[in-house]
Amino acid sequence: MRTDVLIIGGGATGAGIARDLALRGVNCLLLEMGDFCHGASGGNHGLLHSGGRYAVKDPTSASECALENAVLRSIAPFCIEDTGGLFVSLPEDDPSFADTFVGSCRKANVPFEELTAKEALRSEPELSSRVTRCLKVNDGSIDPFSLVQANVDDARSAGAKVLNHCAVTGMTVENGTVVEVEVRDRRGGIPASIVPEIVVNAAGAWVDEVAKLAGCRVPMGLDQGSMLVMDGRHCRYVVNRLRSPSNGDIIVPNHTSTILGTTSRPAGAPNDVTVSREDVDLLVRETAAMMPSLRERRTIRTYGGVRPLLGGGGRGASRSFAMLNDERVGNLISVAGGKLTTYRLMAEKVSDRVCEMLGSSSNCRTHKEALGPPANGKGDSISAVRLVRKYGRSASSVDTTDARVVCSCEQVLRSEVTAVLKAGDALTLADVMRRTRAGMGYCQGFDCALSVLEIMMEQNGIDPVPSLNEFLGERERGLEHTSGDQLRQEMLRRHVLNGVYGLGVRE
Amino acid sequence: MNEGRCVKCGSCLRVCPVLNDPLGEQFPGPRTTGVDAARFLERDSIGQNALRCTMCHACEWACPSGITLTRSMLKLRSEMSAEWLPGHRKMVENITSFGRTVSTEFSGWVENGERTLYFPGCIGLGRSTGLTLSVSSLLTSLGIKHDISSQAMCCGSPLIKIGALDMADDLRRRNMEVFSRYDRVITSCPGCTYQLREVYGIEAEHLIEVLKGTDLRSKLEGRWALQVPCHLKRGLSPWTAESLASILEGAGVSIVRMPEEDSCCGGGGGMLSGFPETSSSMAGNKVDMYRRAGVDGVITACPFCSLNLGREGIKVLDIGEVIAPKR
Repeated sequence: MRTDVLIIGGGATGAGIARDLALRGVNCLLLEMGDFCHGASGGNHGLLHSGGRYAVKDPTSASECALENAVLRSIAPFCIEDTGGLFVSLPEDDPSFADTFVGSCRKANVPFEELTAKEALRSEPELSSRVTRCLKVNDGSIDPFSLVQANVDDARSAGAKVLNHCAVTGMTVENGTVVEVEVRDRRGGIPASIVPEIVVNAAGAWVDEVAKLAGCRVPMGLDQGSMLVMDGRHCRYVVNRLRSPSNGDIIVPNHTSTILGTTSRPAGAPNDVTVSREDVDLLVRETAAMMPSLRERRTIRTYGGVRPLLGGGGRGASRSFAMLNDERVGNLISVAGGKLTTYRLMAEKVSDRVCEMLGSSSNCRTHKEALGPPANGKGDSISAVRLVRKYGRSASSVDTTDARVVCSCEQVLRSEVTAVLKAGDALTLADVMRRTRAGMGYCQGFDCALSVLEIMMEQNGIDPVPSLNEFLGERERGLEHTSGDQLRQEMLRRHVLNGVYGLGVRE
Repeated sequence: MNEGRCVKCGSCLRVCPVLNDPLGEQFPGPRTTGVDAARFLERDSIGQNALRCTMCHACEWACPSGITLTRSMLKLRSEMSAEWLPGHRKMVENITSFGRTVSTEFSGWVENGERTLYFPGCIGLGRSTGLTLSVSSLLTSLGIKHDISSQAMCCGSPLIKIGALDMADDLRRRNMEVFSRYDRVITSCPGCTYQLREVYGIEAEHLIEVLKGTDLRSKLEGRWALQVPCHLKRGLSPWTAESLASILEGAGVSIVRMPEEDSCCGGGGGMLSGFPETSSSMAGNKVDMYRRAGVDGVITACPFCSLNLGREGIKVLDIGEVIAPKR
């Protein structure tokens, strides 16, 4: 099978490139080895950056974030919650940082507004009364799964072929050109060999591994970050610590939960996402300094992501991105670095380069053409809004006449699961979860997994027990760190799983 | 509230008598109405099916995480925007016009300025007047002089069950004026007792608590099963409920104990007025079970249980009707 452009990696960047190229009329194929967003695009806070966090140390990223923040709000309003963000400093923080921050935001064109401590407490009652200074910015919370899916859907309707669960396993390079790419297809849909004109390596944390297949190297810093999901929404705003970027600085309200993050340590491999007990303690301690009530909340899960950073890695590394074009392999472009907030800009730059190489002169349209409607259409019920938030334009394909709910934590309808399975991309319980949120709620799939599995067995014929154990084992990550009252509850959950359902999770 | 403690173990669903009834499938269940609804913005649009619960407290008792499901459901009922069901509307009309849920048939008022008030409740004054007279004469024969005041109105419990909190509070204020003239309030309805204790904050006594420790004799022949009222066992206390059996046995009534005796008959929580067909189906199942046990009838201590089970064609008596002081 031949294609003009083969894109490797179905995170935000890859999906964004596929959409961009498809809208320019370029023939392209995207392959993702797992499910969309299975790397850093899914393993992050879900924070739509205002740019504030990078204003002081990384002004280029800050300006990019500020611009893209506005673009994404206009093209993808359905998957963004306009929470706004607060940067708060506490008595123990260096007071001069706040002044530097203000100056840097001005220089980087990051809009902000100063609130008095009193005003801050009034707009965010759970904030610590110790807050000394507060700046309000344009942060928002964004659903990366819904964003990436919308890019995939839009790319497909513009003619791109996009496949998940297809891994690139080898490349044949002849005369400085990738001439053939080998594929292992888990879902059935393409031949094992692809002949591309140009290969775009947007594999995120795996970018170096993919480059190696063509005999190149992409020098990357892999940096692990941990996040904690707390049950319930506890703040209206995204709450950031007003200090030099450090661990445990950010609290993001997202869907039915609140996400605390992050940490930073060198990662050994792209899938080295393990969250340590120290990270959990640190995140609670640091975020509770800003919002003391977080100590009382229930942790429902921990997760980690691996940031692919340019150059070294760590807190000091730039969050900007780069395109690398090894001279030994002329038709391989690797994209490295960047952030979820700036994915569209990266995709635009990469697509410009691809078009230049192909000799095409068409211009980018992704900043002008909407990915979906706003979520809060007039007169829509809350449940209708919830569907638009998750599915954007495709929300209308869900049969809302069937009121049966499979996941009560997230109020997911049975017909959402059916619609997702019909679309064909979802092969596992986790795939269904990433699309519907069934299993992302406070019971972490404990209740809905059986119902979803039943529907999947009817439609796909998957092997139930291993699928269930794999899914639930993954969803209970982080619960081994719980203690006290919650530990008692987790023991109860384990008892029901083992004793009532006869299932063994991590025996 | 403490809904956040739910781990979805399903204990509440397994014990719910409505979900276990063939007509109960339209009830979203205690977890939806007691846990999930509290978390979602659209809770006010949950619809009338959320009222298909008898407030029997079985879910709350079963919850290993101690979630106050009943309280959470009552809060939901006060927030939801669904229209009142015809039976509930009728009840509200009755309360508005004459202060009780059903029309008053009772005429044996006693207003002598005694220090004790017997408070029979709306069913005792409207539907089960015979029971009220029996309890009154039993109290008299035990030497407890009492009034039965025509000025005491509905306790307000049925209004709280349909979320009409302001109306319930209005009744409470009017009743408190009446109660302030007495030292002691005795009831024969566990629902009223629970309401007076929990909402009014007065130490009302259920008849069973009055009878405990007195020398009594049975007026009955045959073998009798128990219907242990939900609000007696899970509302007041399990020990009070156990006294129902021990008092009867002590008086010489032949009691057949059954594991299902404390499951809900379907008469509470506004179910009887709101969804009479479900109440009837639940009562029918209990009556079948009693018949299989081959008993002569059922003894209870709640006018709602008497009414609801009695309609399914089994002999139901109240403890106030079956015993007398030893001569």
